[in-house]
Amino acid sequence: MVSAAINLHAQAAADSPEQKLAEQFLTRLNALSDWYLSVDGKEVGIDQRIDSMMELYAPDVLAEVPPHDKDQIGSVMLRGKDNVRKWVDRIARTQVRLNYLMKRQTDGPTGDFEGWRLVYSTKLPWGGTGIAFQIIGAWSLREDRRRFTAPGSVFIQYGPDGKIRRLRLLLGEIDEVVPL
Amino acid sequence: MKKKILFTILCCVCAVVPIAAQTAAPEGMVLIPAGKFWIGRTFSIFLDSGDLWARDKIDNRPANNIYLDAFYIDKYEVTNADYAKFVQATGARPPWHWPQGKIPSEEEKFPLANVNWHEATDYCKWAGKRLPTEAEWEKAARGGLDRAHYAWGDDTIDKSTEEGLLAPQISLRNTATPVPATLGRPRANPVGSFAPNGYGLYDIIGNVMEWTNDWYDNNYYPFMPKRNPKGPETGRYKSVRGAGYADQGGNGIEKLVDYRNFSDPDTRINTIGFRCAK
Repeated sequence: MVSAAINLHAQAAADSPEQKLAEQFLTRLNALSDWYLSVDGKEVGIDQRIDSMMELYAPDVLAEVPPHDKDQIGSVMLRGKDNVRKWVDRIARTQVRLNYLMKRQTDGPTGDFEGWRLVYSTKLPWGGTGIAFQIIGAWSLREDRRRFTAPGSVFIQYGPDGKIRRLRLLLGEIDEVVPL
Repeated sequence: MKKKILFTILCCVCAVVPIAAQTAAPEGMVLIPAGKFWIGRTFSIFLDSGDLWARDKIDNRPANNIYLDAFYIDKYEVTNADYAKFVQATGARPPWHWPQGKIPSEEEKFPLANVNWHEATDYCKWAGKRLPTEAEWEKAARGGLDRAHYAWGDDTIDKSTEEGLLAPQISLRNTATPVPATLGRPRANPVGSFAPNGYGLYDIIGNVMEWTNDWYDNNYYPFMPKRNPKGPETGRYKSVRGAGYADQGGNGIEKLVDYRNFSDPDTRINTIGFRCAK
């Protein structure tokens, strides 16, 4: 009975626009590395992956994202869809094996409980919806294949049309993933 | 054999010394060596920590570690006397505040102002120079200090200056204060009134603001080229750098060496002048 209730609840959450947008954001972000080099060195499929990610954003989107590389300090403000596209383009061309996951959350130290992928949501006073969720990000650098991971969080505001108008992607301490 | 070794050593030295460094700096200019530096704000200030300003207004972050070739830049801001020579030689229009087209009495050594970006560019060309890029200006302004808050280091303004911010008339008595210059004054000072920065440049902060060659874009830093950035291709405003004498401010951010400002290139205003680079 308890199991059925949980399943019903989980199913409802999965169908909600909030949950769908959160999952789409991560799915399309991860897909930015789903392209290949042709035998003559062309990046096949990369523009389609970028276009797919950009479909999520409103023209006047404002985004705050982490620095691109070790030669930058401070958060990066992206004003407008064109600048967000530059950021997406850079990810697609400089990072591979992208794997951003929605972090599972549990009630207490229940190590054997697989947890819930929670998306917190609220209606915004100025219209639209706000959602937030925790993530664990992992990516490799295309140039040397070094792999990194960081815990983080995503805050999104989207309008009635479902397009993202505000995005804040925060990453905590970035660690290099070393082979054992 | 000895000659051969000496010749080889000489060749090696020539190869590593930047070309600009092999010639003496032109008169009145300083060599800024080639190399990397951090442009932009690398630290947070209380406005960040208190959520006291709209984050989309921030234009000097992220900071970028970029490389610039060596270049020369004027030690002083262009003065009225300098510009008078240009006016005389070219028939260019004198600044509107000059009475009968002549330098105001005893203001020969004051920094030129009331010239727009086009006139500043023309002057530099006439002098065989050019306006510095925004990145060049900031590197020069930093005086060789790495990621410092101000052109003179990390120390904040001194006590007398803080009083001056509250009561500008007090700061009038402090114009002999070495860098940091007092701000919130009613007028500029003769160039070189304050101590220079680490590269020997005077009045980087606190006299007139300075035109640079670059277009201004608050979206430029996130995707700035890492070598010799020259600003956006186009724009509406030109980048203006360095706090001016009138920048009393309310929170002191204008004095930060990474502070960015901008103005319409057609603007002539009494707080904006320039210096040239080469």
